Amino acid sequence: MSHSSHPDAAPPLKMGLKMADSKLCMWLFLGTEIMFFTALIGTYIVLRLSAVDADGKGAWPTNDVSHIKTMWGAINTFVLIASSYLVVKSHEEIARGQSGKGLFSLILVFICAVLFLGIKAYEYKGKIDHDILPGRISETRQQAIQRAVNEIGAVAALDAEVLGTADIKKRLELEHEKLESLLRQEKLTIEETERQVVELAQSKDARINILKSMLRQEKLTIEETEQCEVELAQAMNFEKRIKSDVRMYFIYTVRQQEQKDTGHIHSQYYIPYGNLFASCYFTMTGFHAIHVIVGMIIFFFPIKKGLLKGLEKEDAQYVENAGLYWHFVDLVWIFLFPMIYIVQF
Amino acid sequence: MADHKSHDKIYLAVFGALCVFTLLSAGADMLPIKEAGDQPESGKMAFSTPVIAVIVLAIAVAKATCVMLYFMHLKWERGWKYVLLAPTTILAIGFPIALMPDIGFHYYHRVPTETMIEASADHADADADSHHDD
Repeated sequence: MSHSSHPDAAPPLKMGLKMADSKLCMWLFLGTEIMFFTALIGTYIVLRLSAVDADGKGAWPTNDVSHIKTMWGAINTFVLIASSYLVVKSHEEIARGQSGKGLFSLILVFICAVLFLGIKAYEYKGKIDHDILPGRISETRQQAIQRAVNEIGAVAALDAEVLGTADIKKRLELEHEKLESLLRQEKLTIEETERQVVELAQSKDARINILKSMLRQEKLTIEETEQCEVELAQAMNFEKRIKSDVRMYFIYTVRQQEQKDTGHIHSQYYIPYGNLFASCYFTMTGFHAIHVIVGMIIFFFPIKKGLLKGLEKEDAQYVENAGLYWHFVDLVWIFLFPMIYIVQF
Repeated sequence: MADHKSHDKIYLAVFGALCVFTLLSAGADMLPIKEAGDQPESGKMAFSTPVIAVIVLAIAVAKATCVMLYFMHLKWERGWKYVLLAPTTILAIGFPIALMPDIGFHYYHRVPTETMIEASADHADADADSHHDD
């Protein structure tokens, strides 16, 4: 469109900003991403402020109960900040023609991303291990007790063959009815429920040990051995059923472990606002982790090119754009870290 | 694409500043929180939770400013940065403000008082150690 060949021509039209189209596009995309994350974080702020008891005092789960460890968040923050610095360093080096150094910095960025995701995975595992998941947390004492009783009822409703014998099923049904009637009369406390659950889960332990030692001693006849083994299988099956299906027992074992390890018990049978916390936590950090994975994919390509062919000065623009995305991911985490890990209301 | 003189030293300085800010944030986590029964004249230095929230978020804003101005190069960019960031900032601040009256201050579900009393009794162990991190 330039008419510069003609001496009296109008000056060529200047279109657009004086920067690469790709950089402008990346910035426009980041504008939308800002809106995406501020929607999530803004909602979290509003919901957290709303989590109060009737006196207006903050009732959001504390870090102790929700298994948030500030140290890991701080380490993750440092990892991302270091990777942001490395991206910027890499960009400068590639622009200067120092492609070897630039490639090395890019690889370090990738490693930082992997490290971040590794720490996040460790944190997620901790949450999963303690059953801090959306929709799985009882929020009042009554819910915790009701859930335990319902789950015992569900186990009692299984077939007699699955539970062992008709006898076992009958006893379990009676046990469940007893608990239900206590619950209806509002006489069932959480301590009593815990005691009943533990008794049900561990009542077979002693019998199992006896049966096992009998088998070990090998003093039985063939029929007696067979009978013993059948009874052992039934008892272990029943125990496994109760232990896996009654959530309260699982939390009980976690509490016992905490008592043994540190002397402080953190896990609770019920957490007011626990499900709201879990939803917010996994939504925000989950979307952020997805963005980190996408960032890793974006960095994969220049690294591959650098390893196979070598990076050129023209690649500096790509790295700059990738760096912009990565800085944004870092920014989001800079806000997520204090809001989730540090601030208490 | 670019520039200018090398900004290497500035980037290193900004990285150092970010590390310091991160340490300050982590340190803010260990600030003593003002408990309900504290007397004002007891001489114990304690911060109420909104104050800690403001301190910690101010540090976060400082870190974000460093990253945006220097790492994302906005300090040396021209006017388009305002065109891009102004609408997003307005939305970012306006959206929580818009939701505050209906949800932030007056959510339809409140945990009943009995539950909180039960919870503080049952969770006495956790409450006592809620400011520890192990």
